[in-house]
Amino acid sequence: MMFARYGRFLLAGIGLILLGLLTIPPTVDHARTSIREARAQRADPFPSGVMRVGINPNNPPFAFYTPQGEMIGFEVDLAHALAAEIGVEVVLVPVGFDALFDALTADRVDILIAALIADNFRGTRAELSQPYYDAGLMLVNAMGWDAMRDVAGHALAFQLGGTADEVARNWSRRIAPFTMLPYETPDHALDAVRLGIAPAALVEASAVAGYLRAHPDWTPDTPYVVNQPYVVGVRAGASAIRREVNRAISALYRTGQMQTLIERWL
Amino acid sequence: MIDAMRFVSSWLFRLGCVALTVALLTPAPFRFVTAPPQTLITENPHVCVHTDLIHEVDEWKIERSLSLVREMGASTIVEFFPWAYVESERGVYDWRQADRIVHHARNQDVTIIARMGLVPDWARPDDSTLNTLPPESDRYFAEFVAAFAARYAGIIDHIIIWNEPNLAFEWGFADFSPERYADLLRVVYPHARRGNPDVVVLAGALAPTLEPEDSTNGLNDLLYLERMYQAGAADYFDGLAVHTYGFNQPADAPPAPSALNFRRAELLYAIMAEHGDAHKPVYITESGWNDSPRWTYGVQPSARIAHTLDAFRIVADDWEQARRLCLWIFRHPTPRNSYRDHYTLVTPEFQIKPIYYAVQAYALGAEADGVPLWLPAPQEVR
Repeated sequence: MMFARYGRFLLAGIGLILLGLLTIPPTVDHARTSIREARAQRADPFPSGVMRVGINPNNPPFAFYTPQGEMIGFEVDLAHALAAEIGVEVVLVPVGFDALFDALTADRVDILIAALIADNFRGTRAELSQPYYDAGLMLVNAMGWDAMRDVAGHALAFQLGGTADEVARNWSRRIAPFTMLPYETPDHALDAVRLGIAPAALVEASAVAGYLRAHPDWTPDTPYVVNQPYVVGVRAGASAIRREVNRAISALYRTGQMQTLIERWL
Repeated sequence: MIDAMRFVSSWLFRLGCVALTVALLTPAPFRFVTAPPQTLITENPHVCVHTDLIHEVDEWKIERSLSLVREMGASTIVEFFPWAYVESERGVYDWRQADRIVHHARNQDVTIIARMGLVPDWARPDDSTLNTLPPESDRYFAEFVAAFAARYAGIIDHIIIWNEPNLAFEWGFADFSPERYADLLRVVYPHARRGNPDVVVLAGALAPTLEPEDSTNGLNDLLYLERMYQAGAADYFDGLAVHTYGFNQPADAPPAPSALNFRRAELLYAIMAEHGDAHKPVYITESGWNDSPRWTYGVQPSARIAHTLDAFRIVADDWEQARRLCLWIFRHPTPRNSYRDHYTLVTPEFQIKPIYYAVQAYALGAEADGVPLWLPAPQEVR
């Protein structure tokens, strides 16, 4: 009778204990090691005083070589600015895009600044910082448009075969019909808007910036309609480095240095 | 005692009901129905594409990809069959994904060239990259290649050993010398032939690069091939896999040792001929142009289309030794979110790019209709 009366509480208790056991990490030693490592990293994420930055130098204007063999670009300057903010020396390590994450895994670099777009897959290979730039697509127009729906029933200029082409064709299946105006180059698509041939163009942000610099009297709306945030990659588990990079990026934004870099290069 | 037993049996019954309900809630396994067998139609069988089906989760996407490959008029695909995926546990082979790909390729009447690489955890040091192959694991890799060759004998008769061995990261930043690669070929070749006596072992697949002798990143492909021969590799491959990209030069740009362009393949072939291998076939297993707006080596999408078609014509008309020209890469299962997306012919969402239709027209022998793909440049009104 006693068991029947209190048995359900006993079972419930056992169940709770079992659930509690499930929350214990499978390898206690490993967890302790990780905590120790994390504490050590928190103390000094760059114990050598040097930050090795993996950079893909084939990506102008983000990073590229001059004819004299000097590596320059937005991400080169960003690496130096981050290092100054963190208080370490910087060593730039040129790495081809395909080898970036292996270079991180093999401990040849500490971080990657290489036009990495944040996505779930990269999140499994590295820790990712907060964004430092959005290389997405802008809907350039003088109509007050700021979204896909605004294009319905009108026309849209873009570069044939590029990312904007893919997005435009995708939009054509999602909203009311609109006229697609494929041009050979992004500049031609923007010319079409500036000259009143098309109401809007879909163009990548850095191409828009370059075009607007060449046409300073033209001031269209340039809302982002597709985001491609660039982030810094840090070795998985090196959370202290990621935190330090995030802090430095925030500081660069706060002090206006990031905007200066963007305006200089992009 | 009886009460306790009743109580326990009552609870067991309830738990059984819950378990049964949960089991019934589990969706039935997805049943995939294969389309009827298809027949390839092409006027230019040297048209080939490199695919990325091994990373495809959904079977219908494998079928859809291969259907699009066939409809484009490509006779052949190059596909990666990583050792690490098939033999993640030593001696235990999981062929399910490879079987799926082979099944659908045959159903679409498309031939496969298989690329072998990537090392399972048990065959490499801790904390090393998937490309790390210690010499002591060469024989395990060779056993895998033999098992693969035997399983697909008569279906897959071309196997590429390793990928771009002249790059450091393709070896996990360990020894990437031509001598190391020659040693690997020496171990693998007899195993592959034992698995399938008719298999054509393709070596090379060298990355086109100008890296000098003392570089830690890689080695110039011409120097690498020369040293492969000096290391005695000639007896351990039946044909050369070639990677030749156009970068930002047109297809007919003249080759030169200091230039990276499509016709650099001719320099590799000249080295083969110097070493008495002119009779061996060449398979261009990676090629193409990239239309990323930012990559240093990218071109406009319009130029990419024009250069690609010119490359196919060069292979057909001038390169007798070349059996296939395989474009990198048909489609990725997910976006790469980098310049690599600009090599594809079809997006992850199966949206077909303009270059697909251009290659299709060429492969099927269709005459260009003369209609430009893009609008003329807008003109200022003065």
